[in-house]
Amino acid sequence: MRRRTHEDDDAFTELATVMAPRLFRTALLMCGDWHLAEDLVQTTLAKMYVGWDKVRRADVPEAYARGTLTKTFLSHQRIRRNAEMPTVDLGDAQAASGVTGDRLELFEALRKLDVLDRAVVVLRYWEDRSVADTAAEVGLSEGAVRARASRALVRLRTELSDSTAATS
Amino acid sequence: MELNETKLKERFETAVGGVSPNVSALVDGGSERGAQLQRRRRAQGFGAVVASAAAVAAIAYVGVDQGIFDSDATGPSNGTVSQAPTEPSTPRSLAAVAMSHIGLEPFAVGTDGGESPEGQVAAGVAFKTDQGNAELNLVATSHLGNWDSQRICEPGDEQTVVEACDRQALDDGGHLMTVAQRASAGDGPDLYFVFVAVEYPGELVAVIESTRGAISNTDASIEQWGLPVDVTTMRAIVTDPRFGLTTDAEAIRQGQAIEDFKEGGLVQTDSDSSSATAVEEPPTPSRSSATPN
Repeated sequence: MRRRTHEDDDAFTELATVMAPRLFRTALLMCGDWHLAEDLVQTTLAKMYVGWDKVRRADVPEAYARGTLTKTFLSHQRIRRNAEMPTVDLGDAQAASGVTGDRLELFEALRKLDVLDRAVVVLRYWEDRSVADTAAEVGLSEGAVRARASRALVRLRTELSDSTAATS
Repeated sequence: MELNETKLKERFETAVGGVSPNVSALVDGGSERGAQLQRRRRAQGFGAVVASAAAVAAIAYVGVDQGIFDSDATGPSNGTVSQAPTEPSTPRSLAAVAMSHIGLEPFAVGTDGGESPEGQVAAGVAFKTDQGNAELNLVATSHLGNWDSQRICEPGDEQTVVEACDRQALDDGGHLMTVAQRASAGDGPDLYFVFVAVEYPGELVAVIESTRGAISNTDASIEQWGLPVDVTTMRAIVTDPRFGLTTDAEAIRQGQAIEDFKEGGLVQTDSDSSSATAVEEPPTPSRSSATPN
């Protein structure tokens, strides 16, 4: 049992600063909402802060952080599963980063996926996590992950082609 | 162009690859929330002194007189803590018995006004001493739902250090437990929690002292730490037959005679016992009538 030191705080800040952008982008893909993504990342960092002993001992702290983010996202969605899904809200991001129609279109399509499907495709195709890692992270069997990934891809293909057709 | 895995990755990259969040705000917010979460867990974690009875934390931090153990209790105790005492204890009598062992004038005594379930009595007393301020939370309860005395030496969170832990059998069948934990308080002095209790079949009586800093020597035995209210006194309180779910008529009378007993006025807002604001500070209650004959 060790006490938290200033060195711990400095190390946390250093790691968090490096990881925050990537965590944010992952969160943004998962939730499609700029402000919620910020909230999810801050919550993830807070959990890392509290569990710093585990984080610093982890072989891959980045993996620990990504796992925490996924669990935070899924937990958030479970809590609000009966609530109305938010529309895509990029908030200041639109102004800050010149959001494109493609991005909005993608987020709208992702938003129509089941929450677990969304987490699976983001982990598999954005984070490049293996099927086994993804399964462990979202609490599904590997077969279920493959099935969900496949199903989600089909759905995204439909949604994105529909929207492309609609705008053309 | 049909969407496949490769194309999807490209779209993800195109969509968010160039996104630039406010990193310093994220990190600062995460740190701040983390510190808050840690404080909250520590508050709960005092219950870590009695690891399986996390609800004890509620007495130390949230306030006395609330349900401190899980509610699967089976009702009033048939405990054996009291021999001659047959009167149901009250928060006042509990405080009176404790005060009779402490040669200090409390600056606050009372409850937080919460409703204790049947089979549980609790009160709080706060002192200012040369060694620092201290809050004593006093409890007698039969609500032992998750209580596991075998786990009392386990720290409750990663920021807490168990400095002392002892369990010994008493002649009357009870077990006397003494546990001390130190919790890092970030930029302030460490918080110390000392839990002294006697466990009888179906009943637990406990005194929990929380104080900040001013511990002279934690390398020595806990009896020599220089606590505002020392461990020997705390043991005397919990082994007093009048300190339990039942007591005697004299303790009831002494409790009734405590002036300025705050029903609901003992508001503990912070674990910082070095601060006089930790407990609302009423005029000094009279102890003359609370002193045993």
